[in-house]
Amino acid sequence: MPQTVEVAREEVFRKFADALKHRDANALAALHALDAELNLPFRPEGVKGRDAVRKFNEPLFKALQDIDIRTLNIAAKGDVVAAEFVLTARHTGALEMPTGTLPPTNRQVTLPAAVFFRVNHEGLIAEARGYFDMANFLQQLGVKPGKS
Amino acid sequence: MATVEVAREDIVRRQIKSVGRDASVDDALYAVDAVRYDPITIQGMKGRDAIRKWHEMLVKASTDADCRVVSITSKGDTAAAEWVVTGIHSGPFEMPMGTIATTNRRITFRGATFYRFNREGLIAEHRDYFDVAGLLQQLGVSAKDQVATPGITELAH
Repeated sequence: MPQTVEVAREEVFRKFADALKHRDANALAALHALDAELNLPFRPEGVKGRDAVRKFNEPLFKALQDIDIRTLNIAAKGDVVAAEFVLTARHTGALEMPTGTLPPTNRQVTLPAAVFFRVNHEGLIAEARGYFDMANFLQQLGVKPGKS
Repeated sequence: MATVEVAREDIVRRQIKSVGRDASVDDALYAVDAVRYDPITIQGMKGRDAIRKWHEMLVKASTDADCRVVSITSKGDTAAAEWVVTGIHSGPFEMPMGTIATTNRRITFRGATFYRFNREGLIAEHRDYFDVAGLLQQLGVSAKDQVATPGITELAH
């Protein structure tokens, strides 16, 4: 039978997607546990804590406009929820990248991505791991990721 | 847990375990008309033969490949897995952007795969998500020639 708790955990991803679409760093941070940990391709050292999550997303939401999320699939089991989606956005502000600061290019970017959340008993994201290709993303913005 | 989910998880585990080690396993895991998308081949692979051929190249290009499951989740005909793979790049790695000559470097990278299964319980769709930039950095090569717009994007329309 469909477990209610798994449905509730899928809801966490929907709220996550809504916060991205609204570029709402506070709402996004509020979905995370106080000691949440993020693991992303361009942040090998990780992002630790709800406040760090907010600070991580604020500049991104200043640099990107018209964010849209097209969800392809959501799957859940136990305390893990996985989702694949395609993010589209327009790059309209200075973006801090591993290759340096990128001034606004006004380009449209399309980023296929997968996220896996471990959701705790309070229904908050305790761990988030994102998978996407920075080479493709940077290339769409006209950056050569090879020369850092 | 439903038997069908156990069978699918078994297929997912076998697929992940075989990465870089044994391409012949693909015949038992994928539907004949399976499609696979990943950020390296960009246009994706259509058909089990094309999927196995790509895998055969990976087996030839690597030594001591060890791909392990981090998590598996599922819903309906879809399953998702996270994995981490290590191995030594010990042979030419043929990418659409060009062939990367043997570096003999040991690499480690993480990724995720979403699978859709057909009625026979075989993989009909396989979509990989991982960071090519991080992989190329470990191999010491530039991604400057990589072409944008992967197949996953087209699929989503």
